[in-house]
Amino acid sequence: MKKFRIYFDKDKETAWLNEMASEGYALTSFFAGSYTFDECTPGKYTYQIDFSDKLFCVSEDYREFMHENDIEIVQTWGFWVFLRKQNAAGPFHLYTDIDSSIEHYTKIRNMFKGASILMIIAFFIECICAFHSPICYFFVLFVGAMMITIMNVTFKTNRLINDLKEQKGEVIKRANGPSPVLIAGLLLNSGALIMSDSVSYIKHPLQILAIALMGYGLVKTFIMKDEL
Amino acid sequence: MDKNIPLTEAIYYILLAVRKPNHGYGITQEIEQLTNGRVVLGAGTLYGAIQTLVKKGWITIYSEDLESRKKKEYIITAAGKDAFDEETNRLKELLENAKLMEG
Repeated sequence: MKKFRIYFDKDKETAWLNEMASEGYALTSFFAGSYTFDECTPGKYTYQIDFSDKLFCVSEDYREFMHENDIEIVQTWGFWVFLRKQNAAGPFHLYTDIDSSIEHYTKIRNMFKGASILMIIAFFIECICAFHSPICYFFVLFVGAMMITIMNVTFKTNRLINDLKEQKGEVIKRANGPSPVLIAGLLLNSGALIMSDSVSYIKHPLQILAIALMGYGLVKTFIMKDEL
Repeated sequence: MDKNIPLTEAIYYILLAVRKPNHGYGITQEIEQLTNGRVVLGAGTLYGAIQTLVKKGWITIYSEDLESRKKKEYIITAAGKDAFDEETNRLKELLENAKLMEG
C-alpha cells in the first residue's frame, strides 16, 4: 500500500507511522513523500525517526550500533533516518534525556535554518525572473509558500528547543523580536516590489497577501505578544 | 577538565557501566538494573554519548572482532576515570552538605 503525505514535523510523522504499524501496516520504504507499507501483525513494530550527520546515508558505526540493538534501518532520506524495532525485542526510544533531545532538535533546527535561507534566495530569484506565464505564477506561489512553511518550521523547532532548555532550568529570553509572520510578510512584499510591472497579475495578489501577513504580524508582535 | 562537570546522569552512568568491558545493549541493561528502571537510555541518547565519550578519550573500544559476530565493547580510560572521580567528589560534597538540612 502506498500513501502520500508531507510532514514537516518529525514527531507527528513518527506518531502517524506508529499508528499505521499498530493497525497492521509497516513502513518499508519512503521516497519524496510517498510512504510504502507492507502488511504486518498489528503492533509488531515501533518506529522512530532520527537525524543523521550525513546526507542519504549513515556512518558504519551507526549502522553497527543500531544492528546490535535490534534496530532496523528502514530508509535514509536526506538527513532523516527511519528506524524500527520489533516490540517483542523491547521498548524503542531514541532520546531519553533533555540534553540529548536539545542536541537532536538543534541539529534539525540548523538544517531548517539553512533550508530557509536557500528558500528565501530561491524566492527572490523567482520574483526577479518572473515573466508573463502561468508557470511563473505557479513557481512564485510555490516557492513563496515553501519559504514561509520552512521558516515556520524553523521557528517552531526553536520554540521547542527553548521549552526544553527551560525545563532544564535555563532562563530563556522570549518573544522580544518581531513575529515570524511579520518577517514572512516583509519578505513577500520585497519579492513583489522587485517584480516587473508587466507581471501585475502575479505581483498584485502577492502584495495583497504580503500586506495581510504584515498586518497580522504587527498585531501578533505588539498586541498578542504573550502568546508567542 | 572543570568545564566537564557536572556530568549528565546518562554520561555518569555510562562511565560506570564500562568500568569493565561492556557493549551498547549491556550498558543500557546495567543502568536500567542499577536504577530500578528509572533510567532507560534511548538508542539515540546512548549512541550520541558513546560517540562523544570516544572522541573525548574517556572510553575506548575494547574489542572489535569482525570475524565472529561479537558485539563491539567499550572500556573506560584513565581520563574517563578521572572525570568520573571528579564528579563523584562533587556529588559527595552535595550529600555531605545536604545533612545541614536535617540538623
